[in-house]
Amino acid sequence: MMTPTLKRTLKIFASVCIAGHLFAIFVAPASVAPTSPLIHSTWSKFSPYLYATNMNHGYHFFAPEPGSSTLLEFKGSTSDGQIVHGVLPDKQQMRPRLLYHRYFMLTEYLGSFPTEAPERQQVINNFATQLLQNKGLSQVELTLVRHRPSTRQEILIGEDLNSVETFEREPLGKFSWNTIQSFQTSRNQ
Amino acid sequence: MEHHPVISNVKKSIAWLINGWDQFFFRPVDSFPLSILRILCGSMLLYTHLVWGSVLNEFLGSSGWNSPELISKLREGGVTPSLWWYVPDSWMMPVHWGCNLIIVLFIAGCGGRGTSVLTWIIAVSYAHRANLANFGLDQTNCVLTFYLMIGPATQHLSVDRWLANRWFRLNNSVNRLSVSACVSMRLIQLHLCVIYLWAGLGKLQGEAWWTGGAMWLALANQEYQSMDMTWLANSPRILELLTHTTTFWELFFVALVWPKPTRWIVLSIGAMMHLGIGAFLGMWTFGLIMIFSYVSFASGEWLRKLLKMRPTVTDTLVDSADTTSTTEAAIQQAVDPLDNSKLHQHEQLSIPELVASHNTHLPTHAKTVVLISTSQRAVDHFLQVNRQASVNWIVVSSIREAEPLSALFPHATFLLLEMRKLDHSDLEYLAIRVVAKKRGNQPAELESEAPSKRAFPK
Repeated sequence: MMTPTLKRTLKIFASVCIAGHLFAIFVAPASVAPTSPLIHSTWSKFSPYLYATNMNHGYHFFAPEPGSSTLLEFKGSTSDGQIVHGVLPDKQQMRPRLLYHRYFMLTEYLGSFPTEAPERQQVINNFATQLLQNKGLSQVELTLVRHRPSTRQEILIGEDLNSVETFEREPLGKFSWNTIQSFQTSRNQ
Repeated sequence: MEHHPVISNVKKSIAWLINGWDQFFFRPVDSFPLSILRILCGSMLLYTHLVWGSVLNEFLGSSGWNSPELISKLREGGVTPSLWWYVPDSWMMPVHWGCNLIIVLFIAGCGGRGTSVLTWIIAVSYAHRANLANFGLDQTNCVLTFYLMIGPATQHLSVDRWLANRWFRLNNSVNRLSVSACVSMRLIQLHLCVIYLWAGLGKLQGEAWWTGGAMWLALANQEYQSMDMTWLANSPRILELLTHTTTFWELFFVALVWPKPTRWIVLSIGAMMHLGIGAFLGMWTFGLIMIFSYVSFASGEWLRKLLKMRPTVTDTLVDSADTTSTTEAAIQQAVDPLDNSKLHQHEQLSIPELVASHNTHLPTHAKTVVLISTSQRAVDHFLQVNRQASVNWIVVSSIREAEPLSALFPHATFLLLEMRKLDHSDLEYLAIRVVAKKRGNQPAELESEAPSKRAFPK
């Protein structure tokens, strides 16, 4: 049987945990850039807890505003010379919709890096490795495609959401097992 | 010793805050909404994981899109525990199906908090391992399973409940008011407020959310779009209205969801917004899990009504001479979700007289008779005169009390009240609800109503 003192102690303990937790989940989205050094240093105190519980999220859905989507075009050849090409994500091929969204998140993640970010090349290499492996390719050429939403005016003059002007392409390079291996060696050194 | 007025005001304010916090987080509540949430959230989690199963190697394998080296590099030193860090590729499928089995047990409400904890570990493990492919669905899955660990989510509509009923021969229901259910639901509610507040604040940085063009940008995104909405290009005012409504709704959700008159408006707008995200932007899973989380704002009472549960009318006899019985009667009245219980309490009559009187004046609508008394004498007499009565709800304060009665009344339902876990403030709160229900008022209007000292001993 729980004594009043024990009950009170438990309530105090639970209250401290609740207050700490609520503060942590409030600080996590506040630490999304742009933010102040005060918020950032506060967040860093709670970040181990937030990471461990998978609650380190910004919840900035479609913010600051809905923008371009990122796609990844690939074109490669197998060892017997067969040409394989495609795009990630592919709405027609990837079903159910949740699976399509998983691939979409991969390419969106790649698109979220600034061009000069050191991690970006590592992500690109990893994606190239995956395509070489999955599709049985000997080499693959990757292109990052940014697809902006058409404006209202473009639609009103008769264009559609896939008009050429809405796409922007950035070649990421050609990858083979050799180039990936040498990249990894240089990183390890 | 008299304090300075400022000090006494500060003391009063602190006491008010502490009491408010206590009532907000630690009030014993019906855990029925948590059980509904368990089934809904568990089903979404199962679907999520079945889809993971079709691409397990690609997304969780050691040489997949989320290679361990890449994930460890990108997590910037943050600890992201996952059971998948320890699973070799050759064992992935058996572990994956084991995880799905645990989620199925969670949905079925089998294994109590054990399966709830394991389900959260599973949800977090997949999310951490397949980090690059995560989105709002995974975040909400992890949030909800985290809070479902805290409360007794398997107390209703569960295998656990069915087994308890069988083993203890308690027909149909053992209703417990739970403090942890309150903590759990409050945290879900507050987390939703945090999510929407920051979603709204984040939008304030974007010009398109101010100029009214943001909704167009979302709907005209070919990669999200699942239904052609370009016809809206001709209706800029509708797009602007949708844009501004979204921003205002997200920003003010935190304030408007608490008062009862605005709660259903706010939640209905939210449900429509998330259904729109599902229908037009293809994110059905995310839209639905967000709507599911709104169950935390519903009362067990409302949900039971929605599911057409507990329809019987009951008649309740109360032993007025026994303070414990009157307290239990008050609690029964307070927790009676559909207000189906009719209380019969007579100050002057003894229990035998009360039973006799009740027998002769049994209302025609009464399908059920409830006896509330801890006195064996009263129970014995009741049994003598009511052998044929259709008794299907008896209030007891321990399983031990229920057992002999359950043999005599195999079709009875037992309402178990853990009296010793309730303190004076809990009883006071319940008393306020009883008075409020009798007068047809809202409990909030009766905060100052003093409970009957006779019925609610300290």
